[in-house]
Amino acid sequence: MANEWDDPIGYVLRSSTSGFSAGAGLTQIDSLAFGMIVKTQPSTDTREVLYGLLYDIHIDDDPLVRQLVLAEAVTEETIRDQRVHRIAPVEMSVLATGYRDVDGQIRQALPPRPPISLAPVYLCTDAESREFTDYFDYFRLVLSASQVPGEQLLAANLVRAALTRPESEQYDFLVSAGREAARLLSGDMARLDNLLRLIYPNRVRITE
Amino acid sequence: MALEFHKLTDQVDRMGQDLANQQEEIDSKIEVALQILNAHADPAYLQYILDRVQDAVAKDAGYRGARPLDEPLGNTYPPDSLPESATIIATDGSQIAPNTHGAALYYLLNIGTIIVHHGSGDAPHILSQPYLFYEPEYMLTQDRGLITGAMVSARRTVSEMAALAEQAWLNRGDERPLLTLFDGSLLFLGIGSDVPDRDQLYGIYFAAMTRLLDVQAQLAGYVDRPRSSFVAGLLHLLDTPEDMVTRAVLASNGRIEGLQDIQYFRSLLGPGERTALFVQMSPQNKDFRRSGGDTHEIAFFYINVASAHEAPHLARVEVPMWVVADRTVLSRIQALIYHQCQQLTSRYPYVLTRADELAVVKGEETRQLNMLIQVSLTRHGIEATESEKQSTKNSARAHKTRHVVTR
Repeated sequence: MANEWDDPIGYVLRSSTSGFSAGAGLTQIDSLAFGMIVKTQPSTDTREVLYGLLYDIHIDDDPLVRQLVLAEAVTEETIRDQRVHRIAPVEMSVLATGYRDVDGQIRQALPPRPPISLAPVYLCTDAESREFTDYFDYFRLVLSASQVPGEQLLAANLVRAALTRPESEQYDFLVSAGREAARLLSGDMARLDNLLRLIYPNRVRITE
Repeated sequence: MALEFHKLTDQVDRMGQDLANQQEEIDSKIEVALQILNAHADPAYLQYILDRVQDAVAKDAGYRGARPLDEPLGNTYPPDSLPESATIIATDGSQIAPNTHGAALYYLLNIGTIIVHHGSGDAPHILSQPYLFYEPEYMLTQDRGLITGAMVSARRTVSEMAALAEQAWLNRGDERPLLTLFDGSLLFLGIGSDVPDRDQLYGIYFAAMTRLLDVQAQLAGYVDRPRSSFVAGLLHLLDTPEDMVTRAVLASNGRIEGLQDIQYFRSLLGPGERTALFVQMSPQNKDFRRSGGDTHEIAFFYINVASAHEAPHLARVEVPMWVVADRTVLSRIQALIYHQCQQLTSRYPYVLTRADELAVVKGEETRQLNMLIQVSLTRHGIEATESEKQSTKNSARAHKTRHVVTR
């Protein structure tokens, strides 16, 4: 698991207060997953940290890659060359879900300012993920974001967050999260049903 | 103003029609070329052909065609099986030419290199090395004129060969066969009499080649879509009665004038196969033999790099004599080059594609470098501005932006 300010998984390409996109090399692909909590810093003040959920990961092609896809005799060295050296970035999108203020408090709201270009992006440690998901105020940001598949993203995040907790606490955590989701989605049973099915505790244990 | 295409459509149509008409003429010339080639394809003719070339040279008839090295004219050779392991090094270069309207006078060479350990499964080693030249000794010719584009190109070619030799030297002593692949002709054709320091550049170039020989590296120059007609010159010579060989007769290729070698060899070569080895009878090649010795003279062959289900795609591969000395080695090089070409659907060696990508300096990068230089000069108290001409050009060629009119 990542240390707090371990190697960055990527660098900010574009940003706004509602989220940002970050670029990374193909070698980072194994460390990324939908619903992960990531962090970056919106300014040079290292006390301020911006948190967000990773919701889209895509890999761009280029004319050379398209040729390689169609060629018959591509070697392992060539594939490694493309993956390790060429500037064919993995681009990930992050939905801003909160920030740690200069006073050290986590606030589950849109950050006061976006991260700047090339700010390093890190995976949160288990402890940070637990701390961030102790409160559910960010649910509303996720479920109301039009650019993301809200229930899928929140469910993926909650399942991951449950696994950072001791086994004895996982069930209660997911039930609490489900109750908060039920409160927010009381007017939309289809979305609520979808979300609850995705985080249903027994299923989480089976897939663990 | 953008190119006015509507004024070009008639001209383009006429061009298409003319080229289509020429194709019929080319087809009949191909038939003639193949007739001459087949008539001299028997191994028993080899000595006769060599004698005819020798005779043309002796008559000082300005013969610039090819001579067969030691293989029958019409023979074709399949590649060896692909070696399990090999080290392939390729280089390519690009340049920013001097601009008298820029803030400062300079030129830049950028050399890209890729080193692939074929069969290892490892990611290749890549590097690119930029060199900035601004000192008067690099910018001015001996008669105090500004260095020309041809001179910069010649220096780039030398740098490419030197980089190839440097990396081969660093990879010497490995048990794996070492293939060094050069982009273009090995005959350093870009260095004309308009390059004042050509002797010095030749010296560096030959020294780099010798370094490759010293480490037993196999060197090959890869020429894609070659327009050469060296073998056509030979066929014309063979088509000409011995007593008719004169400078005037050899000034053209007679019945097959205008025909390129690849236009008739394409019907002879299967996928991966090569033609016989030839030697180009040019002054450049003579210089190579004189300056570098017999080992540095350049031979060549044509190879079909298309895959089995494709139309033939021929390239010319040039190799020094030390490479052709062992035909098993040559056959292995042929296999490696063919395999390189199978990795991209464009049928161009992957390593050269990547070396080019590593070397190329894009327009935006040139603009950024110019800006960097301008800032540095200003910081050091030098007034640095582009000429009005350059500044105006930049404005006119910049991307268009939309003017939004709001109510």
